Amino acid sequence: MTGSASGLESPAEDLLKVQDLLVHFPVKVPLIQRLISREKVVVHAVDGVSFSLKRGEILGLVGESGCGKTTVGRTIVRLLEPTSGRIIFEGRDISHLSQSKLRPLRRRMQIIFQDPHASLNPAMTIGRAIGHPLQIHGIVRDAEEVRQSVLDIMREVGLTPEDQLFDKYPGDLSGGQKQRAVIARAMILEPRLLVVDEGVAMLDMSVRAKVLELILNLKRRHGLTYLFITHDLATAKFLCDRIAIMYLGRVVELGPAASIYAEPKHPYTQALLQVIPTPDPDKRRKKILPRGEVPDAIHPPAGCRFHPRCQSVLPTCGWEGRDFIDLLDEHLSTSPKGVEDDELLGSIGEWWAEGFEAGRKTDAKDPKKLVERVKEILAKAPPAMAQAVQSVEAKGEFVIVQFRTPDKLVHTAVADRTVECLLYQ
Amino acid sequence: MIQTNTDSFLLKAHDFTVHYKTRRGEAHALDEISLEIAQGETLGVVGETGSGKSTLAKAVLGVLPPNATVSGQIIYHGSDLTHLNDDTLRRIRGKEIALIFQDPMTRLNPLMTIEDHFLEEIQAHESISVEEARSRAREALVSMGIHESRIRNYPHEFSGGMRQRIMIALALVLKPFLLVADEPTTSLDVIVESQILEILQDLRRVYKMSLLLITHNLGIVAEVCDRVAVLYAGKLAELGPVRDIFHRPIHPYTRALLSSVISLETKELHSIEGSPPDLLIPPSGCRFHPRCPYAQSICKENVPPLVEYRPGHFAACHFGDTFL
Repeated sequence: MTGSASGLESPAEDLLKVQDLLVHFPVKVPLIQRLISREKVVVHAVDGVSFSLKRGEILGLVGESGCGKTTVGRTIVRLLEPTSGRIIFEGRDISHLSQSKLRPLRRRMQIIFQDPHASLNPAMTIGRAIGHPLQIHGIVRDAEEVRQSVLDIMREVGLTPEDQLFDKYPGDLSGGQKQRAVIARAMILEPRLLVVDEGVAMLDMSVRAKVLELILNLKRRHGLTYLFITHDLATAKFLCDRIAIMYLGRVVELGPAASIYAEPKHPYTQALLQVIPTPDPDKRRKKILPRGEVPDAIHPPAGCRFHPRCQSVLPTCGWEGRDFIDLLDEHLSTSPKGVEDDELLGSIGEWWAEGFEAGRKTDAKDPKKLVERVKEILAKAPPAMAQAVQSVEAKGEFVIVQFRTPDKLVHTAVADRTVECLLYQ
Repeated sequence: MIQTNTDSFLLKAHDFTVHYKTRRGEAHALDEISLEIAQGETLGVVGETGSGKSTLAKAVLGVLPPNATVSGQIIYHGSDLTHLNDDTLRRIRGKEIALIFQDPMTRLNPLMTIEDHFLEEIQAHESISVEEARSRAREALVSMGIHESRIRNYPHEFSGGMRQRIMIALALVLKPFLLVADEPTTSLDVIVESQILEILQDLRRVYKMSLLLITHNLGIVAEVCDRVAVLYAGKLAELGPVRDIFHRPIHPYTRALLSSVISLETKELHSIEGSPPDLLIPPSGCRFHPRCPYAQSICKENVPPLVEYRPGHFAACHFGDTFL
């Protein structure tokens, strides 16, 4: 599949289709607070994610911690139930299937986690652990037959000499061998879809390549389809056919791996690619890093979620009240303290932000002075932010900074991929 | 104690050996390691699981577990760290040699405010007034880009990257000569990792501090280190300037390790056959020989000496000449 020209595939070729997936987790809020405010507090872990997986393809789901990539993986194999949206596996909507109806499907979709050590029961021999799923699903009942299947799959994943390792405990195995055992246990059910969540992140460099090779070999031999979840862009580039870049619960860019790496479109993708350390001391360079860290997913930023950190941000990207509070906070903590500033601006705690407004109650006789000072501070803000300010006004006893409403963000087709960024709309 | 010359080295390990007593026998965690760190230099120590790199960090800080037996020396400012009594060590640790860990959350006390952490650290080493200690704490925090009003907050109120910056601020508040960073960015995201590495480099320039950076990430080593020590199964395999190590590696292990790195330029995968040895029964001769494609019978029999092949570039391989 190269580019948008190949729109000929029938939808039946999609092994998995995810449409507008939403997974929100409730946050525990103390009772009193719950009574006072009616607002439901949720973590927007996954907030409208759509993609599809063709048979035999490897899709990389790439992002930093907290972007929701693991939640997507777990929801797809229905270890979690989506808040809304649809998961269609082999043409069947499994979004809200009951556990009993899911069980037969679990054979066909398996998940592998980051830590092989935590995935294996230390009191169960490797052979028993790998054969366990056959018994759970009642596929093979004869003990000798189970043993034979286990030995076969052990040989296939390179856990050799298999008859010696069969009776070993996880503690006797190296990290690479443990991960092979976990892969064998997933593969023994002959799944169609394998979700690999950071499957090589904990392995030493010298064995990581071996496990990646195994993943590729299994794909070739069994026509497996993978969702490969990782924070490691270099590994994803090597392994994946297509890549989806996630940021704070949204897919910001999705397309063929080769072209995303050759020419990243979304500013977040550009930032991510730039920070990958190059193993060559002659290629040291100064990096332009995004400011700060990923904000929390309880109150994701308005508009484009990346806008407070973006290098290419526009006035229409979603500037809001709390961005002003952040600016003011930075101003108050970095610039030398003037008595005037202290009196005029007060402390950061006296300011509030709600939606596209920020403000402060002022008892000053002349609020115009404060308005002027705020305008001066805004003049030193990033230009896109300053231009997003609609007005700074004194209203009664308040001084209010009002931002414009952002433009609506939609997924846009750019060349051979989709990007969620106003620069391309 | 051995008389040391007063050269530019801040710290020098000589034939340094650490064995751990375990129920299953004695683990040879570090074996006759010799290396130095110059003032203002960043030395990267790379190795895989079980290479002994964390043991080296612990030894430099004098915090090896009780089941460790040590021989050889670590000379610091003319005295042997392995022979200092606990009181003297405690005075050096934190004040002159400081540490930042992989996971800041487990090293910050959740019941103490950030300010308490600073006060405890400062007052353990210096007899200054609380007021002065407070102002130094604030200064250190602000230098890491964290607002001073947050000094009364608790660790859980900060993000991962901020906690790591607080750890760095804590380590640096006493202006140490040597900072030991054990996988300082491993638990962080790539962008924050870049931010932290930049901070560490800036600090080194400003304070002329030496940095011992322990990591498994060769990309980071290439970006920030002046020299590199490659450890394999407790032995020093290769030591040299960062450019030599990356462009002209000598030891087959270093070469294999470098080719196993997956970077954006990777076209095909390379791995090292086999797995790292059991340190309870390390292989005879060169510890890498069971996995080395070039191994000959001499490699099984004799431990290869560390030879200087180029100025400052050492390797421990019987066939080092052929790989030049």
